[in-house]
Amino acid sequence: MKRKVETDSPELFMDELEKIQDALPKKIDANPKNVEKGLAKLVLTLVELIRKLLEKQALRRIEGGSLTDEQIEQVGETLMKLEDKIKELKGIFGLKDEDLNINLGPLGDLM
Amino acid sequence: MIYSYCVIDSGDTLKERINGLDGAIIYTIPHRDIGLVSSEIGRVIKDAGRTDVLRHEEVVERVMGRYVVLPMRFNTVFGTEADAVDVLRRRYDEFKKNINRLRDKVEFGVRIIWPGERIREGIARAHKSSTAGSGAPGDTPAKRYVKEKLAEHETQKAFEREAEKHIRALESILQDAISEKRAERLKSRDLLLDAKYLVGKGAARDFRELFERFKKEHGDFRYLFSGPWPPYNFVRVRIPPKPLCAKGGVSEEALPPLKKGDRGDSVG
Repeated sequence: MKRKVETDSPELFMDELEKIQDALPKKIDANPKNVEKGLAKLVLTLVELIRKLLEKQALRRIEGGSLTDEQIEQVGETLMKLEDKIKELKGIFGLKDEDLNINLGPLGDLM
Repeated sequence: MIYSYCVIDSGDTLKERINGLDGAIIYTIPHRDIGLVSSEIGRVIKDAGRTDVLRHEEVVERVMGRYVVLPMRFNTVFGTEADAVDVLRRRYDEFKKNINRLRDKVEFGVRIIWPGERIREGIARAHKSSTAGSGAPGDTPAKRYVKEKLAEHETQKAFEREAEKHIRALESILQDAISEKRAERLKSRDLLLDAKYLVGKGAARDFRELFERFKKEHGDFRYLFSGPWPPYNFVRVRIPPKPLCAKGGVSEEALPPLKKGDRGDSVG
């Protein structure tokens, strides 16, 4: 059987794969000019990961009915403030939502 | 230094002359009834360049014509032939198991793009209209925030269920033709599936036809189909307990790490 690479939409696949590639830096860009941004990206990615995990856990508990109204209020306020703070820091370092990811090689993306 | 391309099910000298990286002649480093297809290399490869990657692939392809191949990860280099033989000796049982498992098997790649953005928007709209009025006027910002997040969470779950439905449909069609799979779902919202399938050489035509059947039933999706390839994504070799190229080797990670879940473990 002869090798085939077939697609009806080569451009579409190129775009999609490039999009994924863009979110997967192979190295941390740590030259003197943007070392701060590189570090901020790394730290904020980890903070965002923790925020998402907290959010997921909280939503699961709310859905399961194990939180009181008061606790839901507290959780909501905490998550909201955390999200606002991350948004603010992203703005300061010129980072976009899609920048907050790390390629873990064979394990795939962090988020 | 010794650049390695693949392990094969023979320790014999290769029957044809093949040029590897930098034009170097390919030869086999034997151990019992297996061999490491290699060539000498006089430089350290720092970044994967197109020419080198394609040459690595070409060598594996040509060798695959005659032997069972366990492709090595690009840029697997040993300091000396003795280092390479040491790996063959220490990992012999694993190499043999993989060779037996992958004999007469090839790999196919399938990528599917679906209108994910549009589908998710549709789900979100439907969810919004079904929960309209659930927000109370006296809600605090924190409560409104939680309700929004819950709605997003529900939308995402419904979106993933929708994706799963199509992937299951594909796999139920292909299941008789495939031996193993490694599939990643929703790598992006539009990339529904990025999968590799291990298929017996005798079932390759069936696999192709079954895939065409799915395509006809899902004409609104976009597809990228490739293969047959050497089984790059299906070789399972455990991480060695210590670096295998201690003496002068440039690649401490002579064998690639384990991979989790249904993505399997791979040398390739």
